[in-house]
Amino acid sequence: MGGVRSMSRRRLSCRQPHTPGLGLLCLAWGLAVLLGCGRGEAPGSGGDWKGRTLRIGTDATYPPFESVKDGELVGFDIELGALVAEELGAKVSWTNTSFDGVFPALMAGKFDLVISAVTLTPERQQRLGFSAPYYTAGQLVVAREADTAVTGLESLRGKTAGIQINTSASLVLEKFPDIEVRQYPSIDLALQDLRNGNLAGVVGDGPTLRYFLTHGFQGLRAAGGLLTEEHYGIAMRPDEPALREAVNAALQRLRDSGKFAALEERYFGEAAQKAQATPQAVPWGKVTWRLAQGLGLTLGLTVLALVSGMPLGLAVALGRRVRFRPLSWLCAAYVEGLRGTPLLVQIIFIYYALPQLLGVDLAPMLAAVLALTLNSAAYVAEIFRAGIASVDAGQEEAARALGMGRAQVMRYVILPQAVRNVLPPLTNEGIALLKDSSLVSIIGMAELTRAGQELASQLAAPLAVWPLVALFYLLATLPLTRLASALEKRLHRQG
Amino acid sequence: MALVEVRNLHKRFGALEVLKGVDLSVQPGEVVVFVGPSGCGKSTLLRCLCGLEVPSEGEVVVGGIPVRAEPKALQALHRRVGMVFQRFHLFPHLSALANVTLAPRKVLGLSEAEAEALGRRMLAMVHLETRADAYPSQLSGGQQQRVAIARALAMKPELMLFDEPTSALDPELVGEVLEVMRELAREGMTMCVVTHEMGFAADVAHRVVFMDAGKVVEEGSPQQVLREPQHPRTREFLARLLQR
Repeated sequence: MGGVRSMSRRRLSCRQPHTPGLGLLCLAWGLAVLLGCGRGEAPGSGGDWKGRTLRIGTDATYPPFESVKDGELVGFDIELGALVAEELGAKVSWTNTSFDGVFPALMAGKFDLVISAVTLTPERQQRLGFSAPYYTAGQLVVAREADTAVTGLESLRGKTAGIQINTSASLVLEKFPDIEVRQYPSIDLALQDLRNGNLAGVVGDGPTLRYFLTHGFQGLRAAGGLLTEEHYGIAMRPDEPALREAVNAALQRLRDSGKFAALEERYFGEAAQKAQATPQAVPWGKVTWRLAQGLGLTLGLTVLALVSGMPLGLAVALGRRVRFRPLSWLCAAYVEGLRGTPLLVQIIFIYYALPQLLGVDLAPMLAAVLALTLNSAAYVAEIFRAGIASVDAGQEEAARALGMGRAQVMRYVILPQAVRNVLPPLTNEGIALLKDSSLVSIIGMAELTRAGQELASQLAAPLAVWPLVALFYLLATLPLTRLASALEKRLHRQG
Repeated sequence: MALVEVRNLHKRFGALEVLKGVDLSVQPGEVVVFVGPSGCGKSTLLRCLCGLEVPSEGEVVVGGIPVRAEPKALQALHRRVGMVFQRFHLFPHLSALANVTLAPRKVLGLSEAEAEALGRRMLAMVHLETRADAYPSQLSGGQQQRVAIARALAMKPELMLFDEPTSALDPELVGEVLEVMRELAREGMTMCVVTHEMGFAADVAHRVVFMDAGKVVEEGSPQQVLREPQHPRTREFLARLLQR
């Protein structure tokens, strides 16, 4: 067996469902400026929406504002969006995508509004347009019921508190340097750690924490009242004053007609709080079915990307060997470029920036497959290059001495041996790709990880959902490794 | 007319000059054995004859084809010259038969059936007709080298080159390979052989060429060169060989 080391790789994995995603927002901005393409005639600009479709983006992992229930978007923001569209005389279409991706997509003109419990902060207000505030929330401290020593922020001094990464809770805790802060990718994981006894308290958005307290996180309580006053707004592109006025007018009409108050009452009124207080059992059947659907998409993406990435990677590897310099340089640049940049950035570039360059709109599925294919091909090319180099030089000489041409030598002598040598690293690449495909959730693909995220927050049951997600990934990768080792054995018997 | 014509051949690898002006000609049907200390350039000379290396200076003409850095000309040369390597270089992913038939099928355009018939004939010539389906890893070193000889013969070469064909073999396996080479010589094949097997040289060679430091020092019949060497360096080399 030739000595092809499996190539280790590390890709930026960024899974922060409710972080502001400002870094990515800046990136999308930078790309747009760099490409010199304002969105020009985005289909939604202007104030008159009668008969048109209002496209709204949201990250449905944030109950009670937005979540997925039985495959449908539900929540306060979802109903608010429907009411606003109704006021404007418009139809509404929703895009459920990760919070990281929601602002880049807005800037790229993929939709017109973001209604996703977006807190107004000075940073965001500099870059985005916002409606008038529609909801007042604030930070809240949550503690264990048995731990009566915790009564509010002051009582956490000298102890450890959990927050969700990059949320406004960190602004509150900045003023208390003697509270040790631990950051979590999503708030339900922080609550779980609090329940496990590793934290004295969790600081986060009041409404959502209250929702979780009554949905699956029994044994925890709110410690004290709201610490701050924060406002949620409907976000839009900053250069659309007409849309902003239309939305504000619609909100005002909803308030005047009492529809807004009725909506608030249904979600946050006394009756709502009581109704929610019944603990739910985890609906295993539904969870399994949703995850299986997510797995189906994950597998589909992986297989498509592998099937097209392998030949492309092989072509690039061979391209690097040709005598025609410009082509071999191009292939080398391709590998360096795709290997040296994070997959996440490539996905964002292909989905948001490429359509503006080419003037065509790529469906998310197409963009996802394209990004995974191009990225995987770069790794596959390096694997094949190493595999080809691992074949003894004497093989090529022997074949040439028999009168075979360069292409024949490659096809009949070198490649069959190279392929056998690279089966283990190719298997690794397939497994890595399967798991890396979770990054396409940033453009709204509801693959396995994203499905898990939605379920974990909707059911407030991370401990039930995530092990199941892991099991599903394992179920998908095991056959792959089995297949590869069987294939390896069969080929080895000959050599 | 000579089959091989070498005039003032120089071969350099960077600053290292391996061949420093070699003249040689080989007649059709002739068996020439090259001897000399390692690093004297005999393997490089052989590689120049089959076009795996091209001259830095001077001229090599084999069967009327000048050896030059032109892919088409080199490929034409490769078809007419067979090369047997010290380390066999069989294709490990192909059976013995497939090793032999690959080039006839892909280069000469023979059909499956024609190539297989040819391949089995060639394997019979090296007494391996029963091992046609074995993979190289299942064969002994001597058997592998005989398959390699059959593989080269399948292209019907006018000239066969052997680059230390028995040096990588266990001593008890050397005989079977030399026997095949003897048979080949008896049938009139033109052969250039680099070897340290002096018995083979004495029995089979029409001519022995002694090389040292990139030059031909002395050449003549085996009797002349091996029994009555004229040059002191030849005598020194042979004496050292006998001491071992």
